[in-house]
Amino acid sequence: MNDQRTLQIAVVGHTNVGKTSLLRTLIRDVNFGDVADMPGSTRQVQGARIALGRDTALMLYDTPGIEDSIGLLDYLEQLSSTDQRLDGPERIRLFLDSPEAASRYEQEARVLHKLLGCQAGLYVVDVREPVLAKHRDELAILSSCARPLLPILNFVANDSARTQEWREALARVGLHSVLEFDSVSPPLDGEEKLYQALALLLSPYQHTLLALQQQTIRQREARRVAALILIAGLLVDVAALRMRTTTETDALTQAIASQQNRVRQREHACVSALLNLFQFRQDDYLAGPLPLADGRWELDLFSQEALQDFSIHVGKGIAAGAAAGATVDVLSAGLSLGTGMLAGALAGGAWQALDRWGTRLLGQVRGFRELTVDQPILQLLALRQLQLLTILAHRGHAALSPVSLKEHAQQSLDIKAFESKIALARAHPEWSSLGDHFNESPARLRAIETLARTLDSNNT
Amino acid sequence: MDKSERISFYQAWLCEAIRLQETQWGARDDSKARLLAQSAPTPLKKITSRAVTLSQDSGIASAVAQIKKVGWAVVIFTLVLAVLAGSITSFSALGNGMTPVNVVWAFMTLLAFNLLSMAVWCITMLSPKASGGWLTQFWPWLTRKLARGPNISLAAQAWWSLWHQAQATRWVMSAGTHVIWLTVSLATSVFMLFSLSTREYDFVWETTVLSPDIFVNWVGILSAIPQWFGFEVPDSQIVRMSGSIPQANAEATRILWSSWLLGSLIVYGIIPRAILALLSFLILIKRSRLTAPEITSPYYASVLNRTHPAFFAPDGSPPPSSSFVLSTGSTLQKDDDWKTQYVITAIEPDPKDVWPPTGIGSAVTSTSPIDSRESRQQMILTLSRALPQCLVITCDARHTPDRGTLRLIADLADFAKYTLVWLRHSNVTDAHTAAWKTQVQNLHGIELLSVDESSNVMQWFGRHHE
Repeated sequence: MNDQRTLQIAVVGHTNVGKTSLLRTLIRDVNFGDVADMPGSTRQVQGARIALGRDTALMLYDTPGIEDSIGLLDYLEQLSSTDQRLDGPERIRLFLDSPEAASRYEQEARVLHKLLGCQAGLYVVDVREPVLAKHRDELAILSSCARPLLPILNFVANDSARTQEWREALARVGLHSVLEFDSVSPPLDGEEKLYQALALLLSPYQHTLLALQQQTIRQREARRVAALILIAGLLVDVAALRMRTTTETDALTQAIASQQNRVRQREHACVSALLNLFQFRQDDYLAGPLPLADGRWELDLFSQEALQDFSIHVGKGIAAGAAAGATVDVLSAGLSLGTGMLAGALAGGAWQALDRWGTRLLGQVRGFRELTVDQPILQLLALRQLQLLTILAHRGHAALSPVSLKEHAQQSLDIKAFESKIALARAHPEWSSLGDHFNESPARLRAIETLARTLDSNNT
Repeated sequence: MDKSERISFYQAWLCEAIRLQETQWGARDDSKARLLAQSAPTPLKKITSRAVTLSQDSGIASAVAQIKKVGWAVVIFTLVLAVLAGSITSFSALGNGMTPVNVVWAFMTLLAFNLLSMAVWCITMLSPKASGGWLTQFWPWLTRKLARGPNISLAAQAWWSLWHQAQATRWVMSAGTHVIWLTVSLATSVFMLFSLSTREYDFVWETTVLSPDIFVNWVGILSAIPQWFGFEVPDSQIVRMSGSIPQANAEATRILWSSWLLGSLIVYGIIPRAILALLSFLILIKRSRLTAPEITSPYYASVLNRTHPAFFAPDGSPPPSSSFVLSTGSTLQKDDDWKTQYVITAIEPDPKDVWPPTGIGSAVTSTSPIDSRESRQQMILTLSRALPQCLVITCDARHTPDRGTLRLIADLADFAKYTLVWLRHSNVTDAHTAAWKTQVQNLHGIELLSVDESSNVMQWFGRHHE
């Protein structure tokens, strides 16, 4: 895109401050490098490319941690205590040529060699640690490389963060532009802020960095839209599901079990797709290794507790019924559905009205019933998926603990708008890919988009 | 996007089917497909290659092939029906030649439905929610009925989804509608030509309540465009004379009227439909480019991330020598060299901690904590003079045991007979404590105490008392 060379940035810092974690979060890939709460997890320099469109715009290099800065600074001073006056980079080059660079300070030499080859460095700081002499020496060594450094304050979300102490210490060595970026729970606009800060620091690359910033914003929005479409697709599939059954207890029980099973599997698939979309591993959320096989869930979708957990009001009728979560509708063969938007919506409404007063009477007359998934279940599904979406959007790719749905604030749902969209889907059994008469149509695709927009307007 | 980067509609279809399957039913096991995709040159080709492999393995490709086959059969069947409908239209417009043809009725039969449906089409195209009318349901419905087998619904879903993404579903249906009407009209005109060539028809117009002028004007207005296209049309004199009774100089009038009817059908029926069909197809061809997978979309970004990770293997430099070894063999070995009994010091302690720690007896010499380069050097000097028998180095377990710290511990341990690393606050993070344990274990001869109790330290002193 331009004749400049690709911008290269080294990620440097003390050992075990989360350099690899930061990179994982930046390139959104949980498979990058090794992350462990141990010193020296990264032993070699590893690069990651960040593309702008089709070109590689930025190369980020993960380096091993600096572990013996006090010793190294002593050695540097020893090396340069000759007659000649050496500036910072010259001293570092002198060190890189020295025998200790291949033995005692081999790891540090790798870092400094990489930083010298890059246009800038991200200096990662674990703000849970106090500012110690070794950190000051580390900064002194790194600034000898004469490369612009952007300090990244990691773990700022932690209770024991000493953010202010670090800011002051960094200001003392002239690093005033500091970015707070928790790689485990990064701020939503963290990446943008990073590019912005780098653009200020590296004016020759400003154009590229600002373009990267814009790209990040676009991609985030695209991810959100795609996720909402996935959730809306799940909801339409479940809402439109109709299963025909007789009124005999055995058949009914069997049909309910089958229905619940289909819905659970569908929800699991949606979760899996969301995890994929945000590039997390499947085991970042699911408890067991084979949840699909037995369909078990940490929080079962059809349990009363699950409903209460999301404070969804369950009507008396359903609670008293044989199966929570299944509404039994009367099958009306004469009523033509899906003749059009308006008719469909009306039919959906009529369907529910019928459900309220005539279930038993008409059911006995006809001998057939249709099983649909009840409204509270749909609300629960929507809320749960939206909550997962929020969590995933806020989750860094360095996070090691699995997602827990309880850790974030609950979502809100505009029940009225939601219900009207759901009612439309209910009127179209052929819209459910879970059902036996699935038939894709432009109307279904449009309904999914509309529902996604409804979900979006509630949670921006 | 450059031209070499284009993929066929069929490939886009397979990609979409796989995308839908993975987003609706969870990710596929794609280890083989990913391996094959790695040799593809560009991201788009990688995605396509992966999707083609996956869909061939799971039968989606054959479902797509079947839908294509059945879909074409349905289209041909519909067109045959349309030809049939054309022949019926032609017959009902002209009759069997025994009775004179009422030109008003013939015109209506030939064009009324056609024009009406065109008007409906125009109105639906203006509405943003238009989906294409009953045909939207019919073709896919019939195709779905006829195509049997697994994955058919997925393949059909993918087809719709592709056109939906390209915002072209209404144009798909428009193309269908116009092609059908075009076929009907063309067939009608062919059958009409045939009938007109082989039979003799008289043309009349009749009215009971209207004035003949209205009819004359009506024909005049309708004739304007066909005339412009070169069709011969009856002038007002002939129109007026054709009222009710067949005329004497019938030969010329017949030709004029049949030319007028045919001209009207072509101008009002065939040409607009042909133009609209062409327009729909042009739009479809243009939009079909939008059906290619959008490689920057989040789903494909995540797929690409797996087929083509954003990171690469470590640089060419050899991996560092495994774990470093520190020399901890004390240089001072003679027993009588030890001058002090017990010394306790601390490396980078938490300023909030009391120093010296409570519970450490007065027999123990406590030095000031080591928290800077100067205090390090000071400590080494102090120890070289004190030469304690038992040295306790207090460390904070919340800090990472880095090589600099370990080297310092090893350096300090050189001046003592027995050294203990006393790990404080070790219950805070387990991973750190474990790291400390392994790292201190590597320093042979140094013990580690991870219990935050000074009585344990005093016990350790007692054990090593000589």
